[in-house]
Amino acid sequence: MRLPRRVPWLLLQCAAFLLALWAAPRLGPLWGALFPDVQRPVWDQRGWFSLLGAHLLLSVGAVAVAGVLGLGAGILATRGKGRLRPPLDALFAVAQSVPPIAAIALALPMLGFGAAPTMLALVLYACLPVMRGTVAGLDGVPSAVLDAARGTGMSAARVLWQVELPLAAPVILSGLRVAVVLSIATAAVGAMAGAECLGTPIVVGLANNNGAYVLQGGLFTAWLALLADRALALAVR
Amino acid sequence: MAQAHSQQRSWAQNRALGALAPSPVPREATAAALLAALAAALPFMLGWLSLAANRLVSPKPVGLPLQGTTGVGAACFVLGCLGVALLARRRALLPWAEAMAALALVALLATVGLGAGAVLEGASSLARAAPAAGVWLSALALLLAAGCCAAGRDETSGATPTRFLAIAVPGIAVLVLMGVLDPLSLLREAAARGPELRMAILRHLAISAGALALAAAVAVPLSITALRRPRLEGALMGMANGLQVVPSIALFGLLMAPLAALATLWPALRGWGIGGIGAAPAIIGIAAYLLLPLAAGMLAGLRQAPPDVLDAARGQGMGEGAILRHIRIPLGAGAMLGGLRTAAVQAVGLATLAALVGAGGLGTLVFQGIGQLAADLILLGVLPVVGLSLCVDAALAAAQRALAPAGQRG
Repeated sequence: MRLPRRVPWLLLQCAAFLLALWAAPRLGPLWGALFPDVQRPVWDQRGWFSLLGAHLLLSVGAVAVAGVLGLGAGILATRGKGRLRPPLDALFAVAQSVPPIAAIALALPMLGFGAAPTMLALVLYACLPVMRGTVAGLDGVPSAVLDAARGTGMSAARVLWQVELPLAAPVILSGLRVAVVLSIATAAVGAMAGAECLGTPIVVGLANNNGAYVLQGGLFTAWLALLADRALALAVR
Repeated sequence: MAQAHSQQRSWAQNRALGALAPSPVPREATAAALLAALAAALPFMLGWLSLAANRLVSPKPVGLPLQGTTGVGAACFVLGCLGVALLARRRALLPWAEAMAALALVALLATVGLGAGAVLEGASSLARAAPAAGVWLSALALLLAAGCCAAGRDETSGATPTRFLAIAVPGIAVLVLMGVLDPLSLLREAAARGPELRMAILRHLAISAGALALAAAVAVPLSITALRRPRLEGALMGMANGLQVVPSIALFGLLMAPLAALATLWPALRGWGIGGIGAAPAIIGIAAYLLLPLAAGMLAGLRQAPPDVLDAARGQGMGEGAILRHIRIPLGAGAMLGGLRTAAVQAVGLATLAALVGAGGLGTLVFQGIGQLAADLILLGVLPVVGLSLCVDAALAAAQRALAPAGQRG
């Protein structure tokens, strides 16, 4: 098993990330040397840790809601004769054509500035991979297994709960992994609509022509997404 | 017409001869009928039009003046929805149900345009009429109903409503050209920003195409080389997968600083348009995300040729280059086109964020709209993006279907 060796390595990476967040405001000379033209190269408008907390709250909260919705929709889509499949497929095709920033922008006039439009878009977009993973996972359960389970007199609910979902779990979890990474990325875009998160320094920096803010925000957003992807890859295994 | 009919019949017969039990009512029927009924009911439940005394005050819902032309339009719309529900009950008629959904959408928009004209008659010139929530949701329901019909038709194109778009887009264009939609505030905004909107669309297309070309220039030769080198393939796919994880807004931001530094080091690069701000970071950043669909599609396509065919070709003395040109590429064109389709749709969507780094495009309108909290301006940016990506998806899906071997077709 390679698993035990990888967990400490991941924890080390998390520690490095947190250390970098702590160090970022204290590295004034470094940012100053990298961006000599910028007047105030050190991001100090909000603490990095509160931005990280807000970012995680947004994306993890959205995935929690989307996980329940997506799992339910995925289960429904595979029941009966699959009558719910076509509208779900159609929804995927449409959602693919609407970039997340467009969904956030469309929700903005209704919900106002802040975290609300981002949260709505996050839940909508995070639902899709969970739903797709659930459908693919449940579809992949061999029909012989289902027949055997039914043959032993299990009820439909018990077959679902004790046979189908456990067998489909790896595929569902990989859908969840995609959802988390997607949420972290989309939450960063939400900074455009006033949601506080690690994307905020990027947006503030772009608006004020401050390359140092953009670099710091971009670095930590990308780092968080990569870390989350690694951690979930481990969890899926 | 007769030809189309006979094609459909033979198609239905093929389906009946297939392993699947021939069911008279396709499973898409329920969803399509429910969505069509929802589409018909939504404008009546949630309102057709909203009216604002001027651009700044919040709009209030107003009823649709049901007289003359608007009454006819509304009747056509409801009949169209009914038609979708009825046509979807036969598998062979699903394409017609999809087309009917497009006609219903055109009737809906015509009704709204005519209604807006009637409501604004006698109102001050500052008054603005816009479609109410019911109309937007109804349009979405029709799009989804069409997608359901398309999903039942064939596997290659999935739920992309090709036929729906092929009718709805020209239909809406005719409505715009006839001036039916002119009273709507969205069209007034578009008229006021005509040149800006056209520039943004062209720029958006240029950025997407540039990114697609750049990604293809990297992905195509690398995929061909990686075909017989597993380690290169691992590195290529690992990099392409890793890049997907990086949030786009962060990647654009991270690219700005090094590009700005490059331009400072070699000022000549600025003449080429390469710098921290502008099209360069946007195109490079977008291209990075397109590597995965392009490379995966290329590799899958190149592996499409069956081993015995490749053996036979080698036995005839064909070189690897000839095999690539005459066997691998023609046989894998469908899968490659599938990768191109995913990449092209992603490129159009991602190009919206290009405005962030000063590259222009439709994102400029969206971000201006966000700044002013102006719904019309946001829509003016978002609707073309959605329309463009739907059309790109549908066009490439049609090409993919045309390229698919006859046995795999619908």
